[in-house]
Amino acid sequence: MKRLLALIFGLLLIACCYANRDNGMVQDAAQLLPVSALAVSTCPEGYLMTIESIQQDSLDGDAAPAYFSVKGTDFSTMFEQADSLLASRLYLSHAQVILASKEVLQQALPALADSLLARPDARLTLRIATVEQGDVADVLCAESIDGSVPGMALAELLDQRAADGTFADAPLFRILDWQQSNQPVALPVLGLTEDGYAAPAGSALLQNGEIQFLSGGGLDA
Amino acid sequence: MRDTIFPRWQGAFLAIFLLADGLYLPAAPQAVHNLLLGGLLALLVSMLWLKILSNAQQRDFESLCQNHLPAWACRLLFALVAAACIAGVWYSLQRLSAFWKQTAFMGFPRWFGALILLFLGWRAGRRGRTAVSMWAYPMLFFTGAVILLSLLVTVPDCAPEHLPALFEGFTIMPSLLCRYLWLLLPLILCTQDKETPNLRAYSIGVLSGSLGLVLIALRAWLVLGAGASQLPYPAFSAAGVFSVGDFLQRGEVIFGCALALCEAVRVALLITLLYSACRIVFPKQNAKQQKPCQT
Repeated sequence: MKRLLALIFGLLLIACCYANRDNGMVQDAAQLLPVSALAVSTCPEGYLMTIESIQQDSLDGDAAPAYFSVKGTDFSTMFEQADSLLASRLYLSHAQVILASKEVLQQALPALADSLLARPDARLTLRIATVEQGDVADVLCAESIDGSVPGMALAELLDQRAADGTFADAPLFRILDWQQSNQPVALPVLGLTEDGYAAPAGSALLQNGEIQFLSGGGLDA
Repeated sequence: MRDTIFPRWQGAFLAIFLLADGLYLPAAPQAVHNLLLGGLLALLVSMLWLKILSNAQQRDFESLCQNHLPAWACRLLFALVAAACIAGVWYSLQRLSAFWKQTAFMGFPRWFGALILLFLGWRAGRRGRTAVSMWAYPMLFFTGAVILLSLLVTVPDCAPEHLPALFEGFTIMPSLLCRYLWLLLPLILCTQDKETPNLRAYSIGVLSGSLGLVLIALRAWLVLGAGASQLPYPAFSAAGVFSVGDFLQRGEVIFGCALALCEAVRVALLITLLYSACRIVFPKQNAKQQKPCQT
């Protein structure tokens, strides 16, 4: 029995050394940066990704948002850039919303979905929403009414409105299904109120690379 | 002294052996049809097997062979069984280690996951079919409860528009039906007695295992639809669309653990059968190794 235990311990040691040496995927919690929401838009260099991360090291113990941006020609590169920028790894398990600009939706929704599927920490329930007027990063960073983390407040808003059926619901697994079966993708649209808060602003239908914005259930309702 | 295995224990290990496939099921209407058909065929084969044992008035495959076949044929047959067991163990190790590598333990080498599973299977399997069967019984309740709970909580996420595709025709998927051939191996471990007829327990075991697979594939299809084709493990991914706040964010992990346990039982059963086969193929070596009884 002692020999067996020694064998297990030895194997664990070898496996951990192997993991750290080869790809560094095994990390402690301090090396993971929890992400609550993302905004993706186009820019002259390709794509611009604004990342809302959660910092929990404040003196009062409350979670505070922090924002940073990366640019790249494809989404996988941007995720890698963000990882290298921080000397830690983005942790998407808590991310619930991605705001994608209409250009991104028209040109690169399948690529965005593929890059998310390639990350095991990204959840299939991650909701994708868009913005008709203005910048997606502005909507993401807009202060929430209750003072909570804006990305999490957005997720709660989408969740609530999807549950009561008053707003389009587009989690990643539904988008994959619609894309594979060549159905139009219905997405919730967010916008900014006059006070500068994020709010529902209708819905959008994406089909064959064409996006059509529909009013109702939002700012103008 | 012959081992004693209660019928319900044997039914449990047949069910768990089948459920071990749950992690790797495709999500498509054809998969649901083929799993239903495969389950019915498995039930027929197991009933036929019991009938053969009853008619021959033999307890199990081992006694049937030893009483009706010449020694050399018996050894040859069990050598083939041993080879099939090794292939079955290799298949299980390969698929579960690949699953772990892609989902949970990306930083660990595949051989490490395979070694853990082999170690668990070997430690349990070397204790014989009585011990493995005995543990299979409570484990079936545990895995059954986890699977049922997982299915229930994802019912609101099922899309009714995927239902009509289930009635649009039938296509045979040989790769899926062939998976049921592995069930022949645990059937070799099954026993049949006049005093304790096993037909009911076997039928319940095979049916519940098959039904579990059908429901897992059905849920995956109803939740993910055509998008499942882009996911490596749709049956596992479909379990993850349910979450409760931060606490139960990864419901699929519990589901995956329950099915990984089934895989461990499957390996243990195959190793048990491997031991039994080796005892017949190499009788002299085993006899020499046995210690003399002390009086």
